[in-house]
Amino acid sequence: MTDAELKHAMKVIAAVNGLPLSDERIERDAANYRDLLDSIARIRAVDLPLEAEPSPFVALTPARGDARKASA
Amino acid sequence: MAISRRGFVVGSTLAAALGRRLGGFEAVPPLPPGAGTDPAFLSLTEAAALIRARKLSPVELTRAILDRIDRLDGKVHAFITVAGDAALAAARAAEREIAAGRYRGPLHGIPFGVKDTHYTKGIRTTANTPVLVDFVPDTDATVVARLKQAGGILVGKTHLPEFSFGGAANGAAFPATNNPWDLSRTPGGSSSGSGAALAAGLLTVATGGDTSGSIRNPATLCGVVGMKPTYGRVSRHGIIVISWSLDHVGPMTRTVADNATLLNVLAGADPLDETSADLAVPDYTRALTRGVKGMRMGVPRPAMFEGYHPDVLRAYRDALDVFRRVGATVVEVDMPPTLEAIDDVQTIVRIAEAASYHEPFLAAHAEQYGRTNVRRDVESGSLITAVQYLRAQKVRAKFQKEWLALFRTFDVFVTPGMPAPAGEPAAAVKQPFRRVFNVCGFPALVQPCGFSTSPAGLPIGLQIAAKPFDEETIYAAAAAFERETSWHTKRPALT
Repeated sequence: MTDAELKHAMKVIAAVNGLPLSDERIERDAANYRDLLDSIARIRAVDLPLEAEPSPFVALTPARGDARKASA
Repeated sequence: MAISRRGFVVGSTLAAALGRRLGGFEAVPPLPPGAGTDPAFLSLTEAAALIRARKLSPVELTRAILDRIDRLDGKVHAFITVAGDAALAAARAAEREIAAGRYRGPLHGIPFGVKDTHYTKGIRTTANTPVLVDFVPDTDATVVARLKQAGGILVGKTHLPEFSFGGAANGAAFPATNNPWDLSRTPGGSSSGSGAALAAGLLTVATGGDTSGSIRNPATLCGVVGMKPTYGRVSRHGIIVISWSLDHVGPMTRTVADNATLLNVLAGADPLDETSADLAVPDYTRALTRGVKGMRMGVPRPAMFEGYHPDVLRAYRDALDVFRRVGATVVEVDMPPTLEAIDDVQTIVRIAEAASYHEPFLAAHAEQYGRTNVRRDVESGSLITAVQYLRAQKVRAKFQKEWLALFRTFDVFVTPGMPAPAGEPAAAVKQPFRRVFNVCGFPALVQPCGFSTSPAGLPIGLQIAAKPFDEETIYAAAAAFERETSWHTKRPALT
């Protein structure tokens, strides 16, 4: 992706996300965003099966007090 | 309640405290060897024993700490806010309680500091950003409440880079922290103030936050002990967020025993934090005397340390020899291939979650960010798509399974704390072994294991990690190492 394409993409995605970025901010952020895309490319290189699921945000455990209710 | 960087009455000197009897407390006795000549360097364990025996007054200990802050923090910049008047009032209350026979436990009357991301009722919580410079919470973070409930004396809010992003740096709301071992060098970050304050004798114990190594980095570079507990072991309620799924809160201290004692207070389920684990909390101090005889220690193969500073590798090898001498077995293990992508996974998860947290700040206060890279980072992070974020989380799940299988082949995993001493370049390091423990959520502690020779006199750290919720085995190993070495007793020449 060329610099111009990258900056155009940034502007569009930001607008879709409700975060309008000025041309000045796009200039400041572009190199960092490219670094993030490089990270994403390396992540994509990891083989994953179709069944792969994302890491759970919260590991569920029995709710406090439920054990007593269940045994009652 | 007066609150400011210098908003406290300068306490009496130790000399004045000597020979004084107050509140039913005896005069300060000769100090234990680790304390030198200053009670500000007493360990938590030592100070608690003296306070319980009414041989040290919480007021005098707090005054000694505040006096030292007043003399030295202009150079170190470990604090954003010092709550001196409130600390002295709390110390007097603790003194009265203890004198009346109502001793609460080892934190009672002990001065502590918390990173300035922790909500503190009635005390500003700035995260060192102009965006929040006037933010005064009306509640305490759960960890702050627990420390107060245990009788601890909140002395102040410790320094960090803006919003905890990265290492210590200028450009935020307050000037950056300096390393007490060499004021021209970084103390590491992001829990910079907590690490520097402990090294400089400006606190007895402290807390930090760790999303990318932010407890372990400053603990290593400042020569103190820092534990990133298992994800879920310590509540994150009331902590300003970087990344919900990577953020951890943990204890920072000068000794391993102090660290275990502090984790006893901090750990435990919290109904206000859905990610806190509903598991019983063991008494971590009971693990301190277990030793390492028969313990199996996994270490990466030497090629993984490509680019590490030679002084770090020397200290690391010496540390492994110490463990072998006291009965541990050290085995080289292969790393799962997914490890290569883990720092990238951490970057994408962290910055995408940070961008979500910062959404209201970017919408309403974008121009108020400091002259740092935080705004740039969260704006860029806002452009990560849901599919990209979830791809990173899928690789994270795969890695967690691989890492857990690996950790079943040994008791603890040992690496250097950081690839290089403070401010020294670490060329093209293959794997720094820091963010990986935020991605998997496993517990990891660093402790002092030596000093550099070129340049001379900078602390070097050792990292010990274990399976989820097995902080006890880490403490057993770390305490065994501390008993065999004296690195934790060294103090910076700061006047």
